Amino acid sequence: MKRKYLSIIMACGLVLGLAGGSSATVAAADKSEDKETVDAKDVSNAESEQVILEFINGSSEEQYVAWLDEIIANFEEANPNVKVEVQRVSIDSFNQTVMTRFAAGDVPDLFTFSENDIDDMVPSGYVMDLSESKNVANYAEGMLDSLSLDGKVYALPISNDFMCVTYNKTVFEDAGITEVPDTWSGFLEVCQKLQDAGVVPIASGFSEQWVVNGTSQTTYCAEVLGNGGPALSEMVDRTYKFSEVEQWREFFAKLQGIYPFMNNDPFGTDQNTCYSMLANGEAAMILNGTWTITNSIAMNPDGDFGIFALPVSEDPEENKMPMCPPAGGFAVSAETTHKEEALSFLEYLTSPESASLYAEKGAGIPIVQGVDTSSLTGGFKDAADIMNSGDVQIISSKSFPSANEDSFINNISTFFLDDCEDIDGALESLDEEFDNLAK
Amino acid sequence: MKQLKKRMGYFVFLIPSLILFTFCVIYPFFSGIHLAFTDWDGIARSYDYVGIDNFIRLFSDKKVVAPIQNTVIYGVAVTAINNVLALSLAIILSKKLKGKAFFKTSFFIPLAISAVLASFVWKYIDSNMFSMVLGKSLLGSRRTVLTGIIIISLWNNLGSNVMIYMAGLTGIPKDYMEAAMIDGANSRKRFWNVTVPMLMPSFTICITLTLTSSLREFGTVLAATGGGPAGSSETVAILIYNYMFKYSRAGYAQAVSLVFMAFLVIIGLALTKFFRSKEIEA
Repeated sequence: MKRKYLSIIMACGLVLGLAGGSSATVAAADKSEDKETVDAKDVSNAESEQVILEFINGSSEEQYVAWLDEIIANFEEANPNVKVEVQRVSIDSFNQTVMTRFAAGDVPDLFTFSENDIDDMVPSGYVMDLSESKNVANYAEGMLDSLSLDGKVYALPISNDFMCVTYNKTVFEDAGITEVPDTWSGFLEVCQKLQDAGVVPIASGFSEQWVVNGTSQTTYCAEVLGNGGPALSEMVDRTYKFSEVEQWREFFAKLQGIYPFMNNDPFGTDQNTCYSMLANGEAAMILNGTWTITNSIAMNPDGDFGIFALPVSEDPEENKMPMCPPAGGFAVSAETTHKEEALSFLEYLTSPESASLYAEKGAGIPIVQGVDTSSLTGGFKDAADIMNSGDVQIISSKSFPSANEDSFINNISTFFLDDCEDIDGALESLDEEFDNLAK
Repeated sequence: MKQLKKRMGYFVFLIPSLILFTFCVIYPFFSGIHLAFTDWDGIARSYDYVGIDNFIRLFSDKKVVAPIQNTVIYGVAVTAINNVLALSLAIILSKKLKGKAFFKTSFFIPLAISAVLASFVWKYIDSNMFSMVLGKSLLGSRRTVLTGIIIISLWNNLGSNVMIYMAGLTGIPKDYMEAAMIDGANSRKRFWNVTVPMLMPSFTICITLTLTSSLREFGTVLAATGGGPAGSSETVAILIYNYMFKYSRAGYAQAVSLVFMAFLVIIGLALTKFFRSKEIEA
């Protein structure tokens, strides 16, 4: 009998951890991790009236960190009573960390904020309305739409990314390609030429799911959103079906077209390997965001990289760079006890001065207007030139909500893994899953 | 009275562990149960109670079928292979062997490495070596991805079962083996009729622990594939995580985890009962 009870207790103990784990994250996770910061706040407040701002940030690229560190140092020098403590959280666990912190009532003063989270976090009252900030005027019309809800602005971005083709200029030159392709058939010819020259035309690290999404976004931003297709929100609310929209059929046809030019075993390759391939000249192009430039430069600082819009049309005039509002920005917690200091830091963080430094450090393409971008080189200079010339196609948001995005990625992955053979099947499968998610 | 005092003495040693277990496992578990009956999104300040809607939805949710299949295949395969390999290695290492200490250490070292680090190491091996030998990486194909993850798990976790089986083998009295030999039992018969029955307590621990822990596998899968490619390695634990943190459906995630926990309790109890019934006193 004793053994029986002992067995029951042991078995329960073994498995309680599972369900306990999930609720623990809701109620108590990260408490201990953040205790030090909270304690530090109390101590410093008591000792020297110093204000400590906690800033949760999800970016870790070398150039970005260098920019942020300098901005913080400048701000702290100008505001000796304020100290900004950055908590760098891996992008993989960013949502989990931020969500558990908010759910547990342990809110940071500032945090980076994605357009995907706006519908969850804003109605709950966690995010401060920044509509009155003087910095709002520094952005071109429509560029804050993705970070706004009901006409109110909830985050201010520092940069914007294009979903485009990043290429190694040296590899193109070595293969005798003197101009970037400006038509779809021209693009496929370039791919063939590169393949014949023994170079991988398109490097794809699909072992990471976000890369499948990035390649798809590059393609559908041009083929669907930049080509008169419906907004993604209209696919999510089922106003349109994938199988009924010609642009989505064409999107799959384009994926079919590029698949033979990808590296062998893309689903067994990670994206860092692809950055390395592009940087070292083993591969010629990557279809993804302009952050590819930053990561490739990190692999080969002497590399010469450029960007161009994926030319989905046969008419060069139609192949403009698709540009959507930024997918993320910096937000201030509605519950911060240091509202004035947090806003002051945010305004400095997104000021033209900060954006100029952002460009100078090579961290990305600043979106703030009136910024000196003359220090940009390579792919970033290409991007800034395109942005400044206004030769862009303004498109709506490029991201599906998370659940739809996962379903989308799985369907695109299946399409690639099945050798891109069944476009009708892929369209129907997407419709079925999006229908289920809409219920 | 003396007996009671002695028992109390034992109990005192349990107190630190009990306190930790209560605050880290039992309290969070019970304080989170009610969320399974709500529509909480994981971040909102308020939520509505939806009765048993989450549980009803679970039984008609097509998205859970593939993760359940993956979890069962993974759990059963890891348990079977791990225990067969661990027992075989334990038997070999229990014999007089040159370099025994080195081999013991070699099998035990991976245990000290976290599942995440083990996954990164094996991802590198997979994409740089397996893909050269096999033409395609194991983790990059829907057909072989579970095999790849099983290999990572076995490498990472085999050591603990080897140690438990070795301890079990050491505990078998030599007289039994000698008696069996005198009776004319060959090595196969000695293994099945003496070693296996005497090792039942070890089987109870190893098989129950391996099965319940592999059924709730999370870290290795998340770090190795994130559930991909195309969801082909998504386990129930990954599904719960996705609903909780990515899809903002914490109430539903809690319902799934409660049902899954009940399933694991049943499996754990059944296995323990079965193996306990086979145990014999030395």
